[in-house]
Amino acid sequence: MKVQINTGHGIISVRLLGELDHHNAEKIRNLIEDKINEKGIYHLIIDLSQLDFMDSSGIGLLMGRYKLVAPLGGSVSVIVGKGNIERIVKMSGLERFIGIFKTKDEAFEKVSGGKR
Amino acid sequence: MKIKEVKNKMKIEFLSLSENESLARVAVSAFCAQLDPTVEEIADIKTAVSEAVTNAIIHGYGDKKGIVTLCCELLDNELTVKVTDEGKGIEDIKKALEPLYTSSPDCERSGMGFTVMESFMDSVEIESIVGRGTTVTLKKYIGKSNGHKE
Ligand SMILES: Nc1ncnc2c1ncn2[C@@H]1O[C@H](COP(=O)(O)OP(=O)(O)O)[C@@H](O)[C@H]1O
Ligand SMILES: [Mg+2]
Repeated sequence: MKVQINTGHGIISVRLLGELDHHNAEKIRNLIEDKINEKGIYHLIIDLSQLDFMDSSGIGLLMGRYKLVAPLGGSVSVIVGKGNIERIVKMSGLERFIGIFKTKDEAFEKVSGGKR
Repeated sequence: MKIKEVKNKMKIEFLSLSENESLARVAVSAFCAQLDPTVEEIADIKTAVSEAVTNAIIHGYGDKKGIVTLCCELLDNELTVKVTDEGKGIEDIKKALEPLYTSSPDCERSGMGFTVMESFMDSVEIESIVGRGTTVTLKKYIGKSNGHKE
């Protein structure tokens, strides 16, 4: 599991590589939370497109981050991954809370556009 | 009527450590490789196994440590995976199966585990006794996309 975090333009973008399961979720959660605390930025874009595997632990991770940043005026957007990952995201009704995008460009345009 | 042929069997026992979630996924996908599953079928199986094993670890045993047993069988072109824990059991199975129901929202669970298992496998059965443990039986017919049928 690899996590790449970049910040800029008022957005924390998190790119996940490898396998996202319950075992890895806690590490990822801590990394994201440290970054939020360090930068005071509450808009997150989480890129699932480079994941080889994700189960419903990923949904818990995304909803958890939403619950953290939403009351602070923030947002969570997701770039969906391959096959089953997209199915799991759709199945769980995340769209009601979280912006779901096919590409990085769409996600960035929406998130930075919405704030300015 | 044709008698079904047992093609292979496997049984693995491991301690309820979260590290073993990936071990279980890899073991089951290697086990069913002899049926030549598609990439999609492997992904479905791995996801369902991950859900069942994670449940055994976090809900079955929680803070305690115990043994999770993974029994796999190939009968003709059907894969059966049984995931067993001797943990606390499920009080209300109907409720547990509801999408979004979770008994541990504080641990960032989504309550989507059983829903995912049901949509990615052909059948999901749960046997559980409170205080004794739980067995989840997952079945998937491999090779549907190649036109094989029972
Ligand atoms: N092996 C198990 N032992 C005890 N309880 C379980 C087990 N598997 C599932 N459960 C119960 O069923 C509920 C729903 O499971 P699931 O759909 O996977 O959602 P989640 O794991 O996100 O809570 C769990 O919250 C738990 O209460
Ligand atoms: Mg679960």
